[in-house]
Amino acid sequence: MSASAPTRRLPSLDSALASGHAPAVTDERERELGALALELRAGAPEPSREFVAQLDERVASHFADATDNGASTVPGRNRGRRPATVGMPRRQAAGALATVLLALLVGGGLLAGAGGLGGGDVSTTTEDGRGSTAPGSGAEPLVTRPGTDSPSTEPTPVSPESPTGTDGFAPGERGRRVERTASLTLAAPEERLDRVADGVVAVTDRHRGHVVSSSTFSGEDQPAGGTFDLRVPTGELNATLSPTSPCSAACARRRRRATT
Amino acid sequence: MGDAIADRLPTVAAHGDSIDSFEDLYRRTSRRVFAYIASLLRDPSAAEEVTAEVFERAYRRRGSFRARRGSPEAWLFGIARNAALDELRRRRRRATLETELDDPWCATPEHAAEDEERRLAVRAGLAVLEPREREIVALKFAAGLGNAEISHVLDISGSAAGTRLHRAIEKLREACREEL
Repeated sequence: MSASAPTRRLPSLDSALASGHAPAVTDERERELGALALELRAGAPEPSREFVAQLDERVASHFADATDNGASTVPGRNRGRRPATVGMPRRQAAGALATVLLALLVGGGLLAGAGGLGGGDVSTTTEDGRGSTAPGSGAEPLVTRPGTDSPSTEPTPVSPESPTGTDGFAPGERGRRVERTASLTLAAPEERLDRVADGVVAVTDRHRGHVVSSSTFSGEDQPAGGTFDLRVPTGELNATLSPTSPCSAACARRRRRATT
Repeated sequence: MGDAIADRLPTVAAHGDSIDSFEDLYRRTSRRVFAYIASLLRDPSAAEEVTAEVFERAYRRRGSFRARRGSPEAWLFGIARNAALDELRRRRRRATLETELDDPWCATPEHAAEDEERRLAVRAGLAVLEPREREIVALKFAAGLGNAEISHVLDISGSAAGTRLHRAIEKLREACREEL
């Protein structure tokens, strides 16, 4: 196929779409492409009438039922989300970098795997939480917001659920478990944001964790970036955050450990 | 929502950095946004939820539209793309709990009997496309975007969009020929 073929044949597709008829040409390939274009358009998925009516109504009312905190009012759309991250003040990252904020909750005691989320220059601060093995202030975990220089003291939501099913808050008892929360800010070129996001999911899967919630934004009204809440086994924390990931360069990470 | 997909090609007029009428943008694009999202998710029910979320999000952010960054449609479909990708990531982590979904694209039962074979071939062809190929085909034929708008949505050059689209549609054509 010649290098000019792609641009030469596209007009025949547009022509078929505009006219609604396959092009009357002798070239069998062009005829097939035109017919295929029409088939694809005719077969485009259609919404249900009920949905159309409901959305028409909501648009006509200018989403009068919309919440102030940016959370969706669509039923079921806020499951596992962090509305607090919507509309947070953010500053444009230097060099058109997209930022991805990760908040991790780890629990359990499984073995580590290989390949993590971190990479590049990583600065780490560890804050020991309260507990029998980790004396400290018990302060809330620090979370670095995308596009900001200083960490916020806003607490990272911590689920009370035990990943291992061994809930217990009494030191010394068998059901005791160690929880750590960590936040990680990744920076990547804006055009690679999707790859970074996919990489986050892949690394989380690799370390037997799961994504509690995720949200990415492309910079319509704010710097491009994303937020991910992850849950990984305790033993996987270092591996998950290790600086061996190909997905991006990590800017900073902060961790907190609390024994419960 | 607007009329048939074939009638929904005009772009919404924008003055400077403002969208003249959000309702107008909604009427012109709502079915196409749904079609695009449903083509990516392959789940009409989830696509309805995401479509509603897209327009709600767009309405809240309508003041952020910048004409120099593309048409209102490109801006809107950028929001739709992010929302759909977010949903796909959510679905990926639940994937083991879900059964294989039936692709809604080219699934309309109104086809005449003689078209049934071809429709099935197109569906089979769509199934062999890579996600990136399927997306650009969806932007072109389900969303009805031009190459310039597609390039804005995908953040690639117009020529790259044309080349990627051509390769995808050729691959789809070949797959359909093998099915027929």
